[in-house]
Amino acid sequence: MQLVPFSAKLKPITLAVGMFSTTQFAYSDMDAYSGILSVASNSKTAEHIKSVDKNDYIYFSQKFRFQYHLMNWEKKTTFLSSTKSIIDDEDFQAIVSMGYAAVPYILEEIESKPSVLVWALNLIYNKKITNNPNATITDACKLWVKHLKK
Amino acid sequence: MGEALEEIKRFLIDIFPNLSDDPYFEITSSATPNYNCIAWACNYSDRWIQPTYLGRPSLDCVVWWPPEVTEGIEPPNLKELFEFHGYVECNSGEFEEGYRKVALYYSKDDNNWTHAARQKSNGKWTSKLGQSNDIQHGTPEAIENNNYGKVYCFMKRKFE
Repeated sequence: MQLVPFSAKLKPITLAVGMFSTTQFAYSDMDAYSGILSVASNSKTAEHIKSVDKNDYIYFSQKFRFQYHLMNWEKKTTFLSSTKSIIDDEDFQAIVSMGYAAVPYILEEIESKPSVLVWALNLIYNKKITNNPNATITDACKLWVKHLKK
Repeated sequence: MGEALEEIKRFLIDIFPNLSDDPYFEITSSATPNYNCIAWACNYSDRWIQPTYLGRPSLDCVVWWPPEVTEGIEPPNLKELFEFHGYVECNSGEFEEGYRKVALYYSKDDNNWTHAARQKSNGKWTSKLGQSNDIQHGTPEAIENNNYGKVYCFMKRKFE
């Protein structure tokens, strides 16, 4: 039997069908892998994703807002010793005005890096965490974290 | 550690440009929020010495403004605090054997006190920079800048 080149035996229609089926296989494989098809076809999942997206949006926009003000505040006040200047700073006030929404981010921050950011909690909750005259800022940060995370 | 220190030094020189010409400039502690410059000038390293915050709820760990001293943010209030601690005003920051000196700083723009530095027994000066590090500097003027303003006055007391 004589071998002939493979392409010479394929008619155009056969080639087109072959390409189409291969392409579809490839795409469906990708969809199955990424889960895109299942999301689009399952209304409960789609609904869930929508709500997660909304919550995520709120979470990230608040976190972004907090981080933005925190960065500006630190830049301007890290070297200051005057409580008034530190607290009256507009970015510090912006954090305080976020109210309870800022609390998780403040806790995250003072847990990893104790700082006078803890005073934002004094202003948000309108109270001190300790009246111990020997407590330091680091102690106060630890006490707030313990108090609010329990 | 050496590289990190150099980086902090460069950063501080950005903020306090006069330090670039100061051969005695050194970082002498890690950054800590546990005390401020006023406490450090009074030789404490475990508290913020500030007046309670003028009509606002008290803040954690800001409790050490002596009740005998008028609360306030104007330079004479800070001077009164150091008088309470036994200091008297003097003419300069020149080293005097047997005396400890402090330099008080103020911002001319808003007439607020901003900082205090303390002279060490070797004649150099030491400052706690807000929540940042302690540093040694050769002269009180080395840390004058936009935030700290200028030296308002010098005070001294017998070294004990």
